[in-house]
Amino acid sequence: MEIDSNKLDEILKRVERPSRYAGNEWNSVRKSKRAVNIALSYPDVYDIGMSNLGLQILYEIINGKKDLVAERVFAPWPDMESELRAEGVPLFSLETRRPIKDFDFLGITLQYEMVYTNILNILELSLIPIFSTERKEDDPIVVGGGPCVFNPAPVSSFFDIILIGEGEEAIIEILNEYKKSKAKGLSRAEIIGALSGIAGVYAPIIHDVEISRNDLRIKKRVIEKLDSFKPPLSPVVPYLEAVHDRCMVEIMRGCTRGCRFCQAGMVYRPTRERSKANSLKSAGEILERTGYNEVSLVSLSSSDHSQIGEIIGSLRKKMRNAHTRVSVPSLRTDQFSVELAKELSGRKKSGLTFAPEAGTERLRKVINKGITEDDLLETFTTAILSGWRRVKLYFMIGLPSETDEDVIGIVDTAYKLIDVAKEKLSKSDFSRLVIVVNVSTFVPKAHTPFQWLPMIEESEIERRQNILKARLLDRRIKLKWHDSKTSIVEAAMARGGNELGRVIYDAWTMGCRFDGWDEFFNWEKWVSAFQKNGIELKKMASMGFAHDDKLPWRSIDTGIDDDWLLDEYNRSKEFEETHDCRFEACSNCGVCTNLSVDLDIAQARK
Amino acid sequence: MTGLDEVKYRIKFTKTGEAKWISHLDLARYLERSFRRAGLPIAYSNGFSPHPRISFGQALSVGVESQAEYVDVTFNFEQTIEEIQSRLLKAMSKAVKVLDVIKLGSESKKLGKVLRYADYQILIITENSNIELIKSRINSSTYLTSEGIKITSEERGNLSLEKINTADQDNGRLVVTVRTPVNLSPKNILKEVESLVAAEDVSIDITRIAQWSKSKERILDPIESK
Repeated sequence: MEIDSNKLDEILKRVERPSRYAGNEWNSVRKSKRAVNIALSYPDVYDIGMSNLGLQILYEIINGKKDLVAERVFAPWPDMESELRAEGVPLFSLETRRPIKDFDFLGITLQYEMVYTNILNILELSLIPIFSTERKEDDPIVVGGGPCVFNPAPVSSFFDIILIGEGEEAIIEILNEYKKSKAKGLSRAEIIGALSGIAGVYAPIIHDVEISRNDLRIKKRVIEKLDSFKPPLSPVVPYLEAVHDRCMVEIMRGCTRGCRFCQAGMVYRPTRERSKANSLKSAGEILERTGYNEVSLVSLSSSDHSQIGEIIGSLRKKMRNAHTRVSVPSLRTDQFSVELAKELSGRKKSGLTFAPEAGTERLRKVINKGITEDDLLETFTTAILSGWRRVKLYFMIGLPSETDEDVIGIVDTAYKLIDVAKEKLSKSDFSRLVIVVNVSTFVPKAHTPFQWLPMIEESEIERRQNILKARLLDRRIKLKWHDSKTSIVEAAMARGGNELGRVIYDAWTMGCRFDGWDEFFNWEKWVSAFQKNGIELKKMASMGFAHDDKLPWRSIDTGIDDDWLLDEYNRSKEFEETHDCRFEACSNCGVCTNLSVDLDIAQARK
Repeated sequence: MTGLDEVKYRIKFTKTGEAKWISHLDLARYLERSFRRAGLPIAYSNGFSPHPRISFGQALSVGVESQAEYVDVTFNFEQTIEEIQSRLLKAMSKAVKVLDVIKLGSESKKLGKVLRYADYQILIITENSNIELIKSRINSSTYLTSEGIKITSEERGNLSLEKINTADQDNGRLVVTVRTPVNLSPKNILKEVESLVAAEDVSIDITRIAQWSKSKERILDPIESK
């Protein structure tokens, strides 16, 4: 049953950016109902959700199968939410405007902890019971995925199944198993039972007993080779401008640099590169099918790709007369990366971003971010001599073992760069220089060497921010910091357990939505939602674990050996570097053995 | 600097269905991408951030459908009209459909200067209200008469408000067509009609059905006028 289109028309006249809900974008797929139908959701506003590569990957893979259908649904912006509620219109898919409740599956990707309340909102607006235990025979199976499921505990009660790891192969296995089970006439509960047998699938209702009794662990899924899966060649092209609105070619998955704070670097191992030939061919096809004027070569650290120079060179040659830009996000702080950026930027140099992460070499050794001060100064010098006048630096405060000296190190670093610029640039160029110092608060994440450590307390966050505010006074330096309260909620979610399910529920009933958006984040409501469940939010955020504690995410197996994480933590205390296995010997993290995969590097290094 | 082989074209297209929700800014990007998908040699401006050489007439309010939108676009070299039409047909959705294409002379005026009037069709549907009453109210609206929307009677051409109002008593439908200066927002017309009708069970929909240019006191479709 489609949603009444006249009614929807009236609603769209009253909301902001109505094309968020209008659907029918270029490359969107409208099929009739097939054997298995899934609504894919990114639980944030359309403009953000449509920027997500993972969603487009699954959309294309699923719709490529004859008997499967994937449609999309995003979190309605609050103006749309009130319209839907007032008019009694259930949440619907963009493609066929069918109520989400009519689908066999609702798939939700969890990219960030602060979207959790939006999930509940999507469920309710879809008329699907919030808790999996309350769902009835005709409710869709709610499946979760994405990076946040590496600690699924806080949200596990909202999902029937959760896929741990990469979805390219597993999603098809899940949908096919459903088809088979349905044909056999199995009940909803029996189908969930059948799905729980698929590798990488965690079904809380079924597995939780076994997890608490026998320490059952769910091993994450990985694909062996990136080249086996083309990037989405016909991604949906939004009518309105999405946050990332360009052709995306994922040239590499995983990163083995081994930064000890970085969850993505740990959970997406091993590194697998897309070959140059595959990257170029894909880029060409995507551009033809979308009309985009920019190709972005995405990965966790694109300048690390073994063929990055050649890929960029060939792309640029091909694109020369086509007014197509090539961009590479996530550049490392080194000469080579600046040279790449220089080649790409042409005459227009909008801004260059580096992430030293910590203010002193000592602390950078602790986090295994092996950038020396000389590296940084050299890279910066190359950048300003190449014409960049706006340089952005990412730092964190609150990293393990950080002292005031390290915080002041951020200040010193910024001033050293100013001094270098003063020396190297003409007066007029120097006057145009802007150094943006972006400071976030370190949030310890599951499955990292720092997973046992507490986050610094709020008063400490503010004190350290104040050190920076008091000292970074030069008008060329723009200091930006993150709201400490959002980080506190994020920290609690990142390492919380099952007890947070009720907290998220209560926060949502109190009206929390879009918590990642400053204009909607409501600290008081979050505090009382925690209180209501007998938990002190601030305490939970800054709690630590003992090494023999049962961690809430112990049921998830990323392939990394537990001992290795602990070893890495111990090495951090000795300032010992751990090398990248792409360039030096294997660091024995265990992923390749445990998951039967290998590093896949396109071109052997000299 | 402009290339020697550059040719400018004027394209007439519709903006219906989901496309009516596209803002003016987003439409420019949509058309650029459509031309690129079609493999048409769209020309770009010079400078630090080159932009496609596409120019529009009067922006259409979001939420209003149109049967007659126009865009001028410069290509790096000549294409046959048939080629442009067939390529765009494949590269664009049904909601933005190309109706006509002409090649423009080098001295042609900008669309913004050419477009003078727009015709809107207002469809009023009611189940219970008296359609004749609504009709008579609309016909006596000072706003919707020539003074109200500032069009002198000769500029209206052969269209007059009363002649083109059609009421279908049985089906509760009234179609009102008005001609306005092109820069008048259809939202203003809609507001006036809504206040005249002022009944709960009435749905009102407005569509831009034509835009006109004027040459020597003659009113022309801008796709015909050079």
